[in-house]
Amino acid sequence: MKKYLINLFYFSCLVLIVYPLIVFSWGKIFPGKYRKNLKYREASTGQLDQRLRDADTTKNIDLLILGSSHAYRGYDPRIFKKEGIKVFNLGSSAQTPIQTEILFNQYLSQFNPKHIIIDVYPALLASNGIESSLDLIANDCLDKNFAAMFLKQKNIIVINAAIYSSINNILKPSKAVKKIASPDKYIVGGFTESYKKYKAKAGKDIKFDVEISDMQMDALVRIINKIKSNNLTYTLVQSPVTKEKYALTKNNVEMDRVISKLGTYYNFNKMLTLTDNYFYDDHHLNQYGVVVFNQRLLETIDIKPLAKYAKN
Amino acid sequence: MLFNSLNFLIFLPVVFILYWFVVNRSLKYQNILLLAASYFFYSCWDWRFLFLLAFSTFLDFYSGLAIHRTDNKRLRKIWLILSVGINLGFLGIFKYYNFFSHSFGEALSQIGINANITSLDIILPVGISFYTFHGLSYVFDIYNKRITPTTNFIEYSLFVSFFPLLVAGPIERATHLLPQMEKPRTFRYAQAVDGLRQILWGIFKKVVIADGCAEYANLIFNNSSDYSGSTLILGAILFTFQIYGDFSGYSDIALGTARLFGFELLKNFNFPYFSRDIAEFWRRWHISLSTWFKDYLYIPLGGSKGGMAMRIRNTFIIFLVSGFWHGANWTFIIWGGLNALFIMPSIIFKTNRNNIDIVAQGRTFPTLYELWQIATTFALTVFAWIFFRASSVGHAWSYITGIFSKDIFKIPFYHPELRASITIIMLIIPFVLVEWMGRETNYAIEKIGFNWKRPLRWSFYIFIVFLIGMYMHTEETEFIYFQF
Repeated sequence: MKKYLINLFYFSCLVLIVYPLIVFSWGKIFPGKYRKNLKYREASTGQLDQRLRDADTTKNIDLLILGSSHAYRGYDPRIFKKEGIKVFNLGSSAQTPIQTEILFNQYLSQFNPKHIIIDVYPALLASNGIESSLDLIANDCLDKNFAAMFLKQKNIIVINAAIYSSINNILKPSKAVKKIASPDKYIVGGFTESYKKYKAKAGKDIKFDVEISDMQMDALVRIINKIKSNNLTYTLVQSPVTKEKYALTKNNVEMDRVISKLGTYYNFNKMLTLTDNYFYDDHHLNQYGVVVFNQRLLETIDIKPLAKYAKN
Repeated sequence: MLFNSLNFLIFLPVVFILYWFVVNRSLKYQNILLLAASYFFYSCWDWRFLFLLAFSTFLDFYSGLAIHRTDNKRLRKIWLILSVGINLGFLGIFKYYNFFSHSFGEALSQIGINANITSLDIILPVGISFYTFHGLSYVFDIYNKRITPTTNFIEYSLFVSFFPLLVAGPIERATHLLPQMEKPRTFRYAQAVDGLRQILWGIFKKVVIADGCAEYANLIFNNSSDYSGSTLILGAILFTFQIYGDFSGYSDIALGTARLFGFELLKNFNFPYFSRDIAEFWRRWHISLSTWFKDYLYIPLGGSKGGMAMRIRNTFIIFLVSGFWHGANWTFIIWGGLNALFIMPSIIFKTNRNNIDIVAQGRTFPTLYELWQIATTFALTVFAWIFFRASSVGHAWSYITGIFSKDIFKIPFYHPELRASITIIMLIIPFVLVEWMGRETNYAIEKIGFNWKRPLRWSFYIFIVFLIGMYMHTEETEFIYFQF
């Protein structure tokens, strides 16, 4: 038995050492379609790399925006600045509460915000969060918060990406960021600006019920508890999507009921009527839409007093 | 709890440590621990069905004792009928009630009677077909005086519900497993190492080969009207590897796990896709079920002792019943019937035991004739699997007509959603080669690298671990045979 356990221990150690090396080599040799569970992107369409570099030099803000691409495409810091409110937008592509929690923990003390808007898109509460994890792994430094994320997600794609990213960072610490051709423009404060107008495509999408994942809901509750324990205020917001996209979710009423239990909540799909011209695609606002939405947000949520803090 | 889940990855070492380090001095406590672990394992699906499992276990245990303790033939028969009747009654209600009620309703509507037959909203208890057959074989063996019943309820309960085989077999025999439950166990290094190796290969077959094939097989079968004939052939072949990887992978994990606790379970697969005829295929596929039907159905029906007509009748009966055992759907019955048809030439010409050895034994390559035999047998099994996989007989028929009516010579991967299937095909090729290399052993990698230096052998295993990590399906998927 002793020999068995010792050999098992040695073999496990060897796996822990050799497996990452093979993953890294495989990633370097084979193109994407031949490495199914290694999806590593060194740049993202959501400009997360620029946003995080911007975040690293930002301190003491009034309003922090958390959420997915709905956040970084939906809240323009320039509009808030006119009201004297300093905003940082910490959204990332398909960000779910699991990743929001990591970024929030990472930047909370540095940003020292007075108020937080959590942009809540119900479909992402049902997501496994893999896409956003991959985005973060490729663009952020791995730390203990990520380890917690791996344990929660228990997904080999995320683990392989983390292995690859770690070895890549060791071998090439000052990685040059690859630029992806895009009509989007990065705006200081974490915002992504686009004037592209959405053209609806023919064809019918299938309606679905959102089933919130316990893992995501738990993460969201933890974020809110942390906000409360730091004596900060927060608002939950669902930013607008196209009418057609909104109608695809069959249980919107139930979603509103669930989210409103977590705190003050505004669903702007019910408060604004925007045509397709105000959208970049079927669920993201373009700059024309952002102006309308942000003005309405400022009228709705009592965040103008935050400006006083900024002046102090 | 699935074998391919993280929960099992925690469950197995915990039970292993308790078994060999805490209760290792007492056979009784070892068996109690395994029984408790098995009931916990089963309760992870649905604890309510534990009562059914416990009742079925108690019924067969007590029936076995009652049959043994009396010489009164009538009384023995009554106990046998009681046990078989209740066991098959449960199976009938949970698995076949809706099938019979629907079929009866449809038959009535054919003759103009509209009967409003209600179907029951029943959950099929996982593994019911397997543990029912365990219990039945025990009672049959006692009735036929092949064995004497055990008086130890814990040992019998463990024989029925031992967690590696509880939900999808192998279907064990009391003559084989029960004596192992009664004997003190000592830890054997070689057996435990072998167990881990077999588990590794089983996991690879399940999460890489089976789940990888399932992704595209499901896509093609679920949208079969959209695809060309060549793509439909690809779908059927992928399903052929899916079901093999899935079920033989499960069996490998089950056998390997049992070895960690000092048990040897019945071999369930013996490289069936290298068979040279259908008779050989059925000696190599789901062996524990085939032999169960042979011993408890085919032979009692007269087996091959009667004339040719009786042999043909009995062969059809066991294949049809075997099909029906798999599921309450006409597709399974037709699948069984097709296999009976395929095996008929060898029954009629008495060539069904021509290929009882291993193909190309002692050689690296098969002869061209052997290759031809393997290819034709494989093609027949692929054809039959279409019925097994299809959602209905109509679906199977449209699938087959689709193969011959639409672009059978078109490249099957031209659909964008199928292009990535090239990866799984590239994995199937080395997988088949490894299986071929290991076909003379109990499982493919049992002896591969056996004489290599340890660093090289371990590198081989680590590479399998890597392939699992790189190509596994990321969501836990159930084993196909859990539904039976």
